[in-house]
Amino acid sequence: MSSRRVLAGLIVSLLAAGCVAHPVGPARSVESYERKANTTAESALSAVETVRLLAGAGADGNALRSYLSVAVSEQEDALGGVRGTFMSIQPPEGVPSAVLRDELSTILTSAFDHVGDVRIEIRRGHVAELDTVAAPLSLDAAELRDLIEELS
Amino acid sequence: MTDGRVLHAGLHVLDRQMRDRHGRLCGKVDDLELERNEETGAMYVTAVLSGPGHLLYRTGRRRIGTWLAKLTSHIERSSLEDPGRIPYDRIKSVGVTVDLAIEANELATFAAERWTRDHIVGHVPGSRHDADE
Amino acid sequence: MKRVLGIFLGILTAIGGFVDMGDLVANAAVGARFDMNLAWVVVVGVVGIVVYAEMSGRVAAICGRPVFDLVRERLGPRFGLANLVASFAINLLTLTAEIAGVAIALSLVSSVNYLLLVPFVMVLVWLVVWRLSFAMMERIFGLLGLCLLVFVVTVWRIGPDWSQLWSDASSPVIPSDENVFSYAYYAIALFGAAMTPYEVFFFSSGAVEDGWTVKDLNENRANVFIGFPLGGLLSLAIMACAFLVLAPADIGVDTLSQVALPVTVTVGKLGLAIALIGIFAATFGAALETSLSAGYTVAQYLGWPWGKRLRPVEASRFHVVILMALVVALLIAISGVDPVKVTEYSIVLSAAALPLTYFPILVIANDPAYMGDEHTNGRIFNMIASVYLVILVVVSIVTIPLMIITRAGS
Repeated sequence: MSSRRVLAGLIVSLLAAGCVAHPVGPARSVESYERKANTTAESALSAVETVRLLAGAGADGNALRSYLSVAVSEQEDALGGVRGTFMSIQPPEGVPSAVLRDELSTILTSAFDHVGDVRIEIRRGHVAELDTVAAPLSLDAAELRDLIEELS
Repeated sequence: MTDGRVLHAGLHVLDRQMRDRHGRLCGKVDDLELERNEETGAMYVTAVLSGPGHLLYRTGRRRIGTWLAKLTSHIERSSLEDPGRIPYDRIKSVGVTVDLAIEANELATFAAERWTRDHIVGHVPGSRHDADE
Repeated sequence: MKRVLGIFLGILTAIGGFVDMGDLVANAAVGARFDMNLAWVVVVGVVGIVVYAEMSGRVAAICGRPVFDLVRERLGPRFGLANLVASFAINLLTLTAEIAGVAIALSLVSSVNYLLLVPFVMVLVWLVVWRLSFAMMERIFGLLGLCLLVFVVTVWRIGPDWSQLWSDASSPVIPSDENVFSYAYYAIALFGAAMTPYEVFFFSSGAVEDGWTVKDLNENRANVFIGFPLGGLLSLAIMACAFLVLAPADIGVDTLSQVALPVTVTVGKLGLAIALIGIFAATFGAALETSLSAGYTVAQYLGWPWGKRLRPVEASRFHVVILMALVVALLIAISGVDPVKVTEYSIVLSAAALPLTYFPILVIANDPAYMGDEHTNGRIFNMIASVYLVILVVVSIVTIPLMIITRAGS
């Protein structure tokens, strides 16, 4: 009776919210594409900055290696996921969107590679040199910030 | 028939926790069996119904309720004819809980407990002991 | 001496049990994204849980039965069933999140992929429910949960401008890059995390497991009035750490490891280790509480024998329900679904179902037939509790729409 409806309602709402939470469909306008690019850049920036902090903590001897290893891998996966999602969005026609796609794609790939480098060094046990390995990430972060600034 | 205690069946008896003669929890009062006294016209509670199916029956799902109740209608070594029906004379007292004068394992509510105990829980090591410090 | 120990231990339970996966993630995520502008929600949540936990503990001490047990006879089987179904479903989601949280905490010290650890965690939780006494459970996980105080130490070590921090927290604004909907959504998430239903189920049933009587009413009050606020302090410390370290770096919290990042950056290896122990204890404690609550709620609705104080053979169905809940949680967790997302859903849905849980507590605590004439709610207490019930209803109504509007907070 009503309890079944309550449960059904809960499930439907969950599904609805879940569906709406991940809009990976085609962008219908330049504006919406820019918004998705913005969200992507923000997520990527969060991952990059997290890895920078982790690398810094590692280099200072402030973190357990297992923690660093797992935490950086998580951010690497997140970055890869974010990049994959963005690249699979169908951009609207026109040069500005194509340019935006290229630009963001380049930055994301660069960031992904650099995070991978950090992960590799951690797994090899070279924790003290993480600062150096993670240095390129500061450029990636700056580029992401510039892009976000442009898009807002 | 003697004058029974006047209780508000809904407030004081229905859905109350039952305890057996040793104080163990043994289900809730799922439904009541009522009879009308021809002379006075008053309704008397003649039995408490408890066990699989009775609550379903009471809340409107009569067919499933009756079917479930039939499933557990036979319990060995029960002094009750119908283990889902506890005649009112087997009830010691009605208060915060409904206290019965019989054993928990004579009731239909216990059937599932016994099955679970014998077929699942009883086989797991440590199930017969108190939790250790 | 034993009395003192009793109060001490109960407090530890409230702290460790209060800061679970939901609180850890929600407070850190909010601190990173909204600075201290939602700190007031934690305070509001703590007052709410204190008031209602006190009531549910009082009911258990006076009636010898937990609140949930009384819902069916006082409010009818239909309402009781709605309560049971909603609570059980949310409990299951929460249990999944907690088990995942334990597995992640273990993975952070072992480098083993957390998915491989999930089955191990599930078995461990079951073993503790099966064999460890209730009192030992309270002591061990409560004490270890105190390790989370390292977050308070971290804030101290950072040495922020305290007056600035206070003024930020006490005059909240909606940050310029957020809108009122996302602000409200996260406020509700934080509120739901503070007042998760299983806390009162567990507290009430735990009071019966511990054999509380009228003589223990003061212990009840001490537990509640000191324990939960301390838990609130921990929540605020986690929020402040995220605000002070993660927010300036534009970091958003979507993993459990990020919650401990401020500690490792500020306090170093030892701090990180202590934080991870605390996180392990808090999530494990919460896993115990939610799995037991699954058993408590079903058994108490149907009148089965229940409780850790009985031998398992005397409460077989109770233990089987707990085992089944653990298995379902295991299956969901191991399917690879994002545990932080599961956590977020569990606390938001908790928020939607809050009135179902808390309304009966208010009704029963006011009923002299159960409480006796001396122990029903006082007038001021009732006013506060009623105000909260209104808040809960409002929160419950707006939760799902907000979830849809904000696309679950993105």
